[in-house]
Amino acid sequence: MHIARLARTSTVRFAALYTLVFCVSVALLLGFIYDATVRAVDREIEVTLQTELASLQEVHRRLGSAGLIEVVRARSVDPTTSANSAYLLVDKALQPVAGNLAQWPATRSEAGGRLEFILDDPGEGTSGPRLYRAHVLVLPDGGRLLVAHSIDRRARAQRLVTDALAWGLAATLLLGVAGGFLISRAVLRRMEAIADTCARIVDGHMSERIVVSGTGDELDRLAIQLNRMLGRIEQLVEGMRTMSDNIAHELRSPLTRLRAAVDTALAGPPDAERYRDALQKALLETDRVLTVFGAVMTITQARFGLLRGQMEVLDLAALAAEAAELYEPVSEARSVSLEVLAPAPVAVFGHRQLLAQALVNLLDNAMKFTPAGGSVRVSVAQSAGRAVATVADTGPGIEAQARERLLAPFARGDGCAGIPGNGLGLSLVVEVARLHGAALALEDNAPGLRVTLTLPVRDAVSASHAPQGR
Amino acid sequence: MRILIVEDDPQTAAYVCKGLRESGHVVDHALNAADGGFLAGSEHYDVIVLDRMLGGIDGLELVHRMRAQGMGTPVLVLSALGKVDDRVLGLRAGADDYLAKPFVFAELVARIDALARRNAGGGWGTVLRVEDLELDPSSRRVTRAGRAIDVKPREFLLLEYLMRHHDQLVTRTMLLESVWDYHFDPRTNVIDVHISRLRQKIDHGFDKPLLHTVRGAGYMLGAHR
Repeated sequence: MHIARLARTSTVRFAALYTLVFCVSVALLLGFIYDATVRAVDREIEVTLQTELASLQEVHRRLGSAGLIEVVRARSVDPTTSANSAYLLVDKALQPVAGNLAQWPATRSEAGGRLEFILDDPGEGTSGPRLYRAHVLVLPDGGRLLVAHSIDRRARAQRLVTDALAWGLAATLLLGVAGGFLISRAVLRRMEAIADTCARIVDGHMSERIVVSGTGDELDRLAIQLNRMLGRIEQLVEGMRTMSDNIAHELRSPLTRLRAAVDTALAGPPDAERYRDALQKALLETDRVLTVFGAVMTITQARFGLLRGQMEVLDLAALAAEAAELYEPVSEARSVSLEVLAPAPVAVFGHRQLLAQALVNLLDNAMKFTPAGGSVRVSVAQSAGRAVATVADTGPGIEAQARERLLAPFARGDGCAGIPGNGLGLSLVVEVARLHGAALALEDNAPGLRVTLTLPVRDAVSASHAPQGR
Repeated sequence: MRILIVEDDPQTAAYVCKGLRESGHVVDHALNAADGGFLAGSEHYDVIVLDRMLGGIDGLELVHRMRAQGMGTPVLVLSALGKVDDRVLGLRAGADDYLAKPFVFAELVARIDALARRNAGGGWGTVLRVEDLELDPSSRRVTRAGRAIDVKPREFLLLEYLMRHHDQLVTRTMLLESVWDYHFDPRTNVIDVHISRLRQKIDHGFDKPLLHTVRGAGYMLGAHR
């Protein structure tokens, strides 16, 4: 994965931002610890020096200068006190009287009886220069008493904290960058997978799908939705492809016949009657072509949901009753009994013309295939919040394995020879069902075929106030 | 009748103009929406036939403008094949009828006649009479030569439509649209069966048949073919 591209991703930018925030908080935390530690050490040294000076002052007050000299000498050589402390008693002319310092130190800073100095050679047991802090007491005789304490501890603590700060920041930065990189790469890898799949689909591999990791995270949810979308697109594209193949195939025959009729008429001797015949034939074939075109256009419009804007609340029971009524004389002429069972209004949200056409197509099929003496039954009922419309006949029915196939455009059953039709009737029903979010079921009516359309019901309150569809 | 054709395809326009002139109408032709609008505004026409696609301009816009100016001339909109939504859009814009291209010429003529007749108007409450056949829309009674004829509600509507358009060609699609409100073609002989049943009721037992079939086009109600 290219670093430059990685750096442009939003995940990397988020990771960088997080690393920055972490670094700042680590620095703040360690800064606080540093400050607190140094303060504590300072206070401790201060208290030690004050206590010591106070006790020596007490000695001087009680025992006088000689006693003080004694005590200072004793402390200067006592290993427990002299390790970190230094003492120096000087007279008025700053000449040393007692103590473990050779001379009055060259001060680094001095303020209000407090001073800091560096001893280059503090004595045995130590190495290198040491930093001291001292308190000075001016004695009544003009001499001065200096009590100093090494503040190396303070410097050590300082160094410790500074080191910790540096390492901590480095670690945070490293972890942040590395973690950010890893996370970004993981996210990016899945994103790239999605992008790659899309690219392959664009290149024509319509059946490719995005891999779902199974963790159910947001990328999975995205992938699932994208896959659903791809499925629908593939279905539409596939539908269009078979549709156009079928149209081409279906139109070839009438167009060939049309051409033949015209060709034959032109080839023979000019004769008005023959010409008339040929033109009649041509007109018939042209009408056939136009019928196919019209049906295909309607199916396509329903398939692509172009007609959603014209959907309204309507009574499916009334629609079915009207469609049945249209076929009532036909049923009489064919000696097929036509029964309508739609006792109560069932409100659905739909496209009036398309639903009517779907019902008419189903009825037309039922009538065409039911022999004399048989019966066709249309029923509309509401059950479990669904509107159920059924058209059942006692014709030959459709074998279970052929049902799915016959839903495709231009598909016709084996027993259809001699029965008019172009194989588009059920396809329209399929698309109308899809447009309405309805389930379409072809079942055995034993004997015959039973087609059931199950639509969502529109609640009755809104239905009664809606204008009746015309 | 004076008819204005607004159609940008010269071939279709010539075909329609020629046919309508042969049927005895006076026909003006405009090739674009601007000319059509001008003619519609300055001349009097009984019917305007308007193509939806006028070189990038939607013919419905013209209808809309005409209606906004208070012009009530009936308009028949021609539109592309099989567009289910065109009809609704057309009627919403103020058109009176709609016909999908390609159309059968007889269908166009029948619809133009129907539109002109409707505009001539009148008598939705009055008793309709064709020869000795009478239909009373208010009492929903049908009689022929004084004899009551029992018709079903849909047959009544069918007969009413035919009587309002007596001596005019009425096509199957016109009947489907007006009587059943079906704006698609079931492509079967359902209408023929309805007609023959109606014919059985109004013509059976009378000397003079009134309901005629016009071969390949539709039906006509009247004394003579």
